[in-house]
Amino acid sequence: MTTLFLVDDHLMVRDGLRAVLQAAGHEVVGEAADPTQAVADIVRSAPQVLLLDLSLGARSGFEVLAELQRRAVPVRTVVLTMSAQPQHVAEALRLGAVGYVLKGAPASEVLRAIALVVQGRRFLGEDVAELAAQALTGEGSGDPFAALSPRERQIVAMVVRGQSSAAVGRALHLSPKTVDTYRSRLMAKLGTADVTALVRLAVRHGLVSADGN
Amino acid sequence: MDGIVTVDASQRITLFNQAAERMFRCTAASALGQSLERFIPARYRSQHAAHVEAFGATGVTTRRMGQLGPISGLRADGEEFPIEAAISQIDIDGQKFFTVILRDVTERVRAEEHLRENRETLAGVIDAASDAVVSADAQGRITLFNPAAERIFARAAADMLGQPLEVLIPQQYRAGHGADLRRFAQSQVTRRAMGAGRVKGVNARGEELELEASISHATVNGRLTLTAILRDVTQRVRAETALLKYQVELSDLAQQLMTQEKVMTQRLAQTLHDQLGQTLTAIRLSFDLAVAQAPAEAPAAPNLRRIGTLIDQAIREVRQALVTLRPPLLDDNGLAAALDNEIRARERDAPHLDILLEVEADAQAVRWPADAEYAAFMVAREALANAVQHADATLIRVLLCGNESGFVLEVVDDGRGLAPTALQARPGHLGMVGMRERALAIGARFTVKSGDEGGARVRLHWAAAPQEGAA
Repeated sequence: MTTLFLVDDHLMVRDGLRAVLQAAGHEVVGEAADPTQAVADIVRSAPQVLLLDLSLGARSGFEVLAELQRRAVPVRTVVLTMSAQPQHVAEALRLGAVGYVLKGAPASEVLRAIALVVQGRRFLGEDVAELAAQALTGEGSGDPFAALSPRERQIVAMVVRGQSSAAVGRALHLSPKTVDTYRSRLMAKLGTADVTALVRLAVRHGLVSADGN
Repeated sequence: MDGIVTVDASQRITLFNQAAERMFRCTAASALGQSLERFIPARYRSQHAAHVEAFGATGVTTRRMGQLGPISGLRADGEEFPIEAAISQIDIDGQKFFTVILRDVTERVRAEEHLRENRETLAGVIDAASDAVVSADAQGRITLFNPAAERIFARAAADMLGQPLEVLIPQQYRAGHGADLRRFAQSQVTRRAMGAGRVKGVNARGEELELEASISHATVNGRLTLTAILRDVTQRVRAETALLKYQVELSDLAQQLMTQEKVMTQRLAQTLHDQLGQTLTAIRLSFDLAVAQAPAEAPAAPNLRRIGTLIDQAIREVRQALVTLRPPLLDDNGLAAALDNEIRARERDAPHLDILLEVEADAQAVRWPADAEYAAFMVAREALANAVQHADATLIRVLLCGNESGFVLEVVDDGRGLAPTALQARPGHLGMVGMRERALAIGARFTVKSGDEGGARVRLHWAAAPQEGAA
């Protein structure tokens, strides 16, 4: 059994959630529709898990996340909201959320999220995971270069061989400025801070050999 | 030098000086003793003889040059020419002699004729001109009023001559006009061209006229004359004003429609999000609960699974509609963030396509008016969709630069370029027109052209209205 707190400005949704959670043997220790009320109640009722909607009428669930983070409240937060924009996912995770599930996902997914975050793990809903991978640079397993487009891979190969933006641009018929945009985007996608790190990553994944050829 | 000819009472020539020789192209030798009539055109001869006799009878000794009026001489070679003559008479030993002093005025008469012709030509031009020509003297009294002026002002020249110019000017402009005219008359500028200034006039019926004017001043024989050439452009101005008004109305209408669209869209998005979306969420949860509590082998199981799939689909549809209706992040995070988000979503659906967002550092955090940001976002979205779906592009660049006073948004692709008909609206393809209308509604400039190396370049340039009191 897990103790939960629900923050959602739609009573209908809270009712549905409560029914599902109770049927699964969990206990809902409190509910709120308003961020300010929510934070006070969460601090007081100390639930294990918070199910939080990001859209709360004119206000936002981000306010709740930020305040909980500021007060270091030890609650595991699963965002449960209608939309999943890459930036929203990234922002929620940055503010301490450990789960992100889309509203409308099967009840089983909500329950799985609760079970996992209680164990200290993270959970991203099916449609969310992909977005988060984009937003959260450098995470994920496997070949980071696989996510790149053919032209991006070309540019990585040329950059790690030490070619300038101007030279890359000439070879690919792009302006140096466009190549620069490509480079900074690549770095962000691959989570590398500079060309040295990019070279190391490229060598590690066999994109270029260690002697630079 | 004047010709001098003396005749006796019977008009026989007794003196014929050198100047007379040149004038009549006849030597003194062959003239002396001849009748004066020889040098008078045949038609004047009888008259002339009578004149001389009458003069002889008066006892007046002299008639000055010009007193005789225009008379003509006849040269030896038969050429007639205008002369001026003075005549005097003396008695010598009871015998009367008449002395004529003659001046050949051919040149002067010719010059005068030329001048008269010029004057007549000018008068003809002025009379036939379609523009009104109105002259006035230094006191502003009308001295010339041509037929076009009669037509334009609906007044007769006969009534206007001597009238002050002011009667042609609407009451409320008269004071200013007088001062203007005095300034112009005193200025070194002698001419102001047509079109440089529009002036107001008024006709006899009291109707106000829009006139294009050119004005000049000249001093002739010490008298200042101001001449205005006036063209009646009332109809043209009226048409221009109507067109302008129509354009403004159209632009207002477009703006209203865009605002309405935005409001409607927001309302729809809110309804979808706050009502249908939440209801579906609740249905989903309740449905899952019901399924979980139902016996696994219940006969309704296949139907329940189908209902579950339909609920999934409904939720997906609502979510997609929300993204389409309400640009994510735009209101909260601004144009750059919303574009970034949109591009990521597009790239996810088109893995072989690179879409680059290049935002100038200055433009990164600027917030523009919500209407402008919304229109720019929608234009970018439409341009992206065009490039992805119709242009076969492999690289699309979305460029945003600007600052508080405005921005330029460009979507540049390396695709097939513009179809010749791309700018025309085709049924069901309002893309370009839609973008243009959005631009118009926020007062932005919108252009679409072929890129430097093929492809298309969609450009939206928005500038904030200048602040009140700013230079």
